[in-house]
Amino acid sequence: MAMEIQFTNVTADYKIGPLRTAQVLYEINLHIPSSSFTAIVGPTGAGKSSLLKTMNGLLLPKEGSVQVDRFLLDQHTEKNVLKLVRKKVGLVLQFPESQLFAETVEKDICFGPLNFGATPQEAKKLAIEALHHVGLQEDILTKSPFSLSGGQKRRVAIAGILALKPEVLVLDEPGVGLDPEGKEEIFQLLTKLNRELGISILFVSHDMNEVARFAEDVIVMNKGKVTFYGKKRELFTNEELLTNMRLELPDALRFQRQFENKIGKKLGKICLTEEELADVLMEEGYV
Amino acid sequence: MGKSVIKVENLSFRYDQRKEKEILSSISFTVNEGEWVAIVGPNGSGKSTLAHLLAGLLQPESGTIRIFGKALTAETIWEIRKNMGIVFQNPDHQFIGTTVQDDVAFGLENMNMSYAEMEKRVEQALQQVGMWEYRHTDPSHLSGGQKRRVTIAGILAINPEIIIFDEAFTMLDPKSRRELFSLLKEMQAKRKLTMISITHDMEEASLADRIIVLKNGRILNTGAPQEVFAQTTELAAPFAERLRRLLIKRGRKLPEQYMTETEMVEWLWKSNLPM
Repeated sequence: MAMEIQFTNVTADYKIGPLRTAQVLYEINLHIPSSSFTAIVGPTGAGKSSLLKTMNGLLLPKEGSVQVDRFLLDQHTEKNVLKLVRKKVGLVLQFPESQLFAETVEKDICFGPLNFGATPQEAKKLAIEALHHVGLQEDILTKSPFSLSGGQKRRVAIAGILALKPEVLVLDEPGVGLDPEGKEEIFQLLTKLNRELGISILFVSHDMNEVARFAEDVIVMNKGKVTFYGKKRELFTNEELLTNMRLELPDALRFQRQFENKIGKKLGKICLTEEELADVLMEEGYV
Repeated sequence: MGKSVIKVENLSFRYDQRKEKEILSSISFTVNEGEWVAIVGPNGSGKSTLAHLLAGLLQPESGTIRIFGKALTAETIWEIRKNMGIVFQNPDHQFIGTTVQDDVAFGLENMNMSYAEMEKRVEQALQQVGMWEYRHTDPSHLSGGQKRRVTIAGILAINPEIIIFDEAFTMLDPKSRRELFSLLKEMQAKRKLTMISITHDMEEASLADRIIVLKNGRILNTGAPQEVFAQTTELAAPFAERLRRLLIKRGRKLPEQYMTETEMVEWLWKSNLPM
């Protein structure tokens, strides 16, 4: 699946009635390859959610352009093109379960495909397929979305987007508000979609443990600009950048730094998870 | 120990009376004045239901909730609410004002406060959460974390004796979260503020004076964080505890009890000192 996203000098703001807000994105240049798994991090108000919205045309660049596959998004993009882009790039907002509305799970998931012109039979087939992808059984189709647990609701909401067969999935804090188990399930699901179906995943996160465990690449944003884009290990090795951007360390690395300060010596490797840290502590004979 | 300000006795609840399954089964606990109690447990453990019952949004099926010695009922709820603030998970559902400062002032207006006093409290509360410079902004234009701070400012301005946080900090970035925690700790000490936080975040729970673990509608365990984390293995423990358990699993010898991160770093360091 070849589905790249190219940002060229993208600047954006929100127009509210006659007024415009201060710019939320400044001169963004990014090339996001197909089938990548990228976390977007940065302080609150850095423009992370806005960056996600520009990828599916919910926010159009004021200057510059976003190229999604063969479609160009800018001020002049026409509605029918936007519709196609929104099918290819599925956007999962924060707390997507708050947007479930239909009386059954089936109606909720089928809404998107029907809206994009699928027949009822096709829509149902897509709904069942999407449910399987998110690890839910068919018998849930007749239930009311409101009778489900928080984690299930979120998976139904994601299934509603997957039923459109997107090639890119962009998610605003997909794990937020779920218990550790629910969070783990969501990220296992995203990993599977990425590896098995080749869907590119971009997710906004404040949780560096999520980033350290699941992402491959990281985009760091600050004040509407991209200040880093690269491999996660490269980011967590760059102490200066981490400090400047006031980014938290993943638990394992924070522990490692404390220990290194105490013993006055560095461990041989940057540890991003407790397994990695346990390995290194044992290999180097500290425990 | 202070006097008890919240007393829950034999509280039971079902959403559907036709079904047997109780969401909460005969729960009892007390919270003392100036205490910070964290209520934790997996999704479906009954945490959120308990939060809604404490907030008076649901009525108990049986059992009682006493707040300041008064039973919480439809009649007493408004009296009790004057001294009890509640912060829910999704801040969008709690905005009313067209600017940040209006929103914070809203709760005060309802209390018949003088304009000067109101102004003072709004400024103080917004300063405390670091949102004073956004006072003229429309709350709907704020980011998730900023909205959360404004909601908390709205509650702080009312100056309640009890605050209930229902997954209130999940939207915040870790740094703002820590800043707010230390602010709350400070207020807890200064003003004998009583707090209940209902949370998945074990870091938040580890800051509380006491943790109550719920599972399937019952209290599974309760105690100081270090006791609860060491005893309740099904709880997603803080990092140092997970590392301790992992190293033990891999056959290494480590102390039997729960250690904070600093204690564990200290222990590792000491055990590596030359004899």
